[in-house]
Amino acid sequence: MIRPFSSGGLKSGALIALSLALLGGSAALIEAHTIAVRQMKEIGLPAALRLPQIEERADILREQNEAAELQALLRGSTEEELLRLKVLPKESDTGRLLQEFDVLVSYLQSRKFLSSFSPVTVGDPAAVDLPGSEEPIRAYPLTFGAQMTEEGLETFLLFVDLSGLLTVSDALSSADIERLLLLTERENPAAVTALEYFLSTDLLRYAAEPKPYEEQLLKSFSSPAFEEGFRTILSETRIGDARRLLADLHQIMKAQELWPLRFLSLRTIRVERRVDGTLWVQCVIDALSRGA
Amino acid sequence: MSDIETSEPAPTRMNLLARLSLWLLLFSGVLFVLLGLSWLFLVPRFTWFSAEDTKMSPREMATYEQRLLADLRNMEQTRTRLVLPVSHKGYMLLKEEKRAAPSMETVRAELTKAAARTSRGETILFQEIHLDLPARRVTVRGDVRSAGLSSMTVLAAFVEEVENLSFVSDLERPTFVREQSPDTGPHSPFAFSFSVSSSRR
Repeated sequence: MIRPFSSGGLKSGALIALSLALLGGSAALIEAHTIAVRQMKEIGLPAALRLPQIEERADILREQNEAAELQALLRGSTEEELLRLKVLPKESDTGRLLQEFDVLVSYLQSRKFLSSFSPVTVGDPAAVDLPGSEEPIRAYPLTFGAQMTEEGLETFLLFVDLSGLLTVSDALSSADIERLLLLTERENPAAVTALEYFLSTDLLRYAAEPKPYEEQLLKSFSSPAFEEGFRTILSETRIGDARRLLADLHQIMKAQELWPLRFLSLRTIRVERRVDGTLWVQCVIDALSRGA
Repeated sequence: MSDIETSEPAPTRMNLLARLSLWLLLFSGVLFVLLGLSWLFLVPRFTWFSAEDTKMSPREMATYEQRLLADLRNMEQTRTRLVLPVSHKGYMLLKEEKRAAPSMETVRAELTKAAARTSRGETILFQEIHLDLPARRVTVRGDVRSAGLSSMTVLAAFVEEVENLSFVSDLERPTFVREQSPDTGPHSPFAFSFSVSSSRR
């Protein structure tokens, strides 16, 4: 018979306590097993299934980056120099700016889109608030008015929109470029250099004769999927409008060495409808420069 | 004859526990050891994955996947930077800003469409549209004609239509008046303004 506090009773009590502790430990281990299996099913397995695709894509991107880097080295920095010299010059360069306007006004007049153009006033420069820019940017405000037709206004706004663009890539949004890169990656990753060449094509030269540049790019892809996607992307951008206007201005821009155009940005625009149906457009446009 | 007395007394509860305790310890000990062995050797074998020549738990696998995805994003950014001929940060920002700016063409086109949806034979004339890009504010001045005595109703419907446009916010309603003109009859001149987000298509 066991009596409380006897040595036999104490021994049994200790054994039971130890057993209970081990059972508790076992329960914890069963719970840990369940969690491990659940995590394997819910987290590990889906990740493991996605991993080969990610690794494959990483390999493709690594190869594309190596090829693109080599091509970038061969390309040089002509565009960067043009940007500093003409698109965002260090000085006001008002003479060249007014020459650009002259070309536009002559073009609009030749099309009978514009009937009168007021004198242009160039104001004092002001610093542009551009967080993230490594160089300060300043703006010279240009104020003027013009009497024009609906088509004239459309062309004028397109001109301002296209000003400052250098290459085909500048006429595309970053999302469009990403889409083109994804298409390349899917259809022929090695053709990234062909795409790089296409994107670096001078916009004016492309506008004058787009076919050779497009064909050269399309030659790198055997499936029609790329061409289809490429055409869709281009049709959704303003590249068609750019082609239409720059194809007309191509000769004169080249002759007067006005390309690339100075970066212009619309500040305010007032459109008044006249009794005769024409529009009186009064606007302030910022011509941008580098430097404080 | 006297009754035969049993030599062992009936087992009490404590007695029973004393007899069971050893078996209980044995059972729980074996169970614990088996589960422990399973945790150490079986679970890693069936729930761990091998990648990059190392064994990874599901959580480590997920972290590894996230790291690979971050690497992919970095490589994508590098690729975009490499295929673009110009990398001047200020220029890139200016281009993005211009692209995101509201477009006068779209503002005018949408106002004309809103007027067409509202009017039934009446004329909503836009005499002046002013777009201030830094303030992102549009001011419209115009007139509702040929609507007879309902010119103010047409104007109200038009203003409501404009207010419902996706890029319009903070619309300051016009003063609703009906004036009489010897040339045009009853008409409602108006002027209102609204804030505009990017209106590019």
